[in-house]
Amino acid sequence: MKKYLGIVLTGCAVGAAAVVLTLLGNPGNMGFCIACFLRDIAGAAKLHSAAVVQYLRPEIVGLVIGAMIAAVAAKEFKPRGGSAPATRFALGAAVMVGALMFLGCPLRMVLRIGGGDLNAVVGLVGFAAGILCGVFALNRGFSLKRAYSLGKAEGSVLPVGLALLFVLWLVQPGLFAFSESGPGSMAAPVLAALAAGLLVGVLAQRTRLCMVGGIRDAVLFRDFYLLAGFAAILAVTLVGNAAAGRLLFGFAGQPVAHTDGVWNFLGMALVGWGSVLLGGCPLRQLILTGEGNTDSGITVLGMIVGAAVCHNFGLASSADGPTLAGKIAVGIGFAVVAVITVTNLQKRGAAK
Amino acid sequence: MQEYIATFHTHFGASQFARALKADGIRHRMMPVPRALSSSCGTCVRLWCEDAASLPREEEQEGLYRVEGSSYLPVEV
Repeated sequence: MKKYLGIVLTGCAVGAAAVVLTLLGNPGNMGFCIACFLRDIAGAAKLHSAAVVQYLRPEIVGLVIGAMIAAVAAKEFKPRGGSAPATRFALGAAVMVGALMFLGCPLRMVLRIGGGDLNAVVGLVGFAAGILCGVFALNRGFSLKRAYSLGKAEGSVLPVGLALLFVLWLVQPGLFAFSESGPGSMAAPVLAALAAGLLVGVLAQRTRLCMVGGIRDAVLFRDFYLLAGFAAILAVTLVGNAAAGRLLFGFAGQPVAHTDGVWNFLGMALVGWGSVLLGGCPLRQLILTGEGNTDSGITVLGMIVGAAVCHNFGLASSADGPTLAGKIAVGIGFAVVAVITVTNLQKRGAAK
Repeated sequence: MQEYIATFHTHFGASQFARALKADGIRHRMMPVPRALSSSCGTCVRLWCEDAASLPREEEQEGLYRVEGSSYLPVEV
């Protein structure tokens, strides 16, 4: 049981931090959402013009820098890269299309369930189905091939670049866009958001917390370590939201959510499938970026560009539901992921 | 019988190695790589054999460790 202590405590900390961040001002059930926050950052940097989702979320900066600090302290800052970066960029964009159809990354899906949002339970079923597609691909020989060791400077570019962007935002906010209404206008104080991100970044680096990895490892290896973190987040958010009087079970009227079950299912199925091919959920990609993994950094850039495309072309859902363009984009996303799956199946030869 | 953990650059490499072990009748199990060995979430193969030198070769293999209690001692491959 000792093996599970760290991951369960991490899950508890993530759940508690998420509830606190919503009480401090973040949108409902959005203490953390990697997809929504990268989308908000894309908006803040004026990569898209959706006025309601523009804010440079300090949580993201904290997650990456927290992971970097933890990795450096443990002598685990070992930059790596070169494993199909262009393919990973495309997968990151496809994952974002799915996440913005559902309105949340896998972590927010858990937080939404913890707030009583039953649409996210439908999303979870789709997520699991997508993960099964990815596991099937792995069992059939899917591989994006190996990464190689890189220099410390190369591995630092993305985390340090993000930190510098954050400093620029603090000292020259006029350069950036700020939502005056909508989810982008709802935010916990900067220091609290940054501190929560740093804490979760450190803990996630130490424990390898990953929403996709939980179900993947349970299916592939009957290993339930990561799934225990997933369960702990859910348990603590349920209790925390209940204590805060914010637990509301139902489908309709949930914060930053829609009730179209088919597209909640399909959106998260796309996220699950793409994330297994990438080797981890969007949160995990941020943590690996902090460890100097440039493949994950490219994936994050793909997610940011994907988010900008979603909002520039009306693909993202809203509380009113999905758009026709968004449904077409999810279809294209599945086609892209399927082609990437098939074209990266490696030939099985006998080991030498 | 000595216990070892073989680590790989890719999941595919681990699964290839596991297939070769199965063909050779060597007891093994694929699993997530232990946290003590890596901060990555890759796949490793835990195996039990008498002589590590006789293990099959897999080009994607990253390392081999002898398991001694809760310690992992690197072995030349």
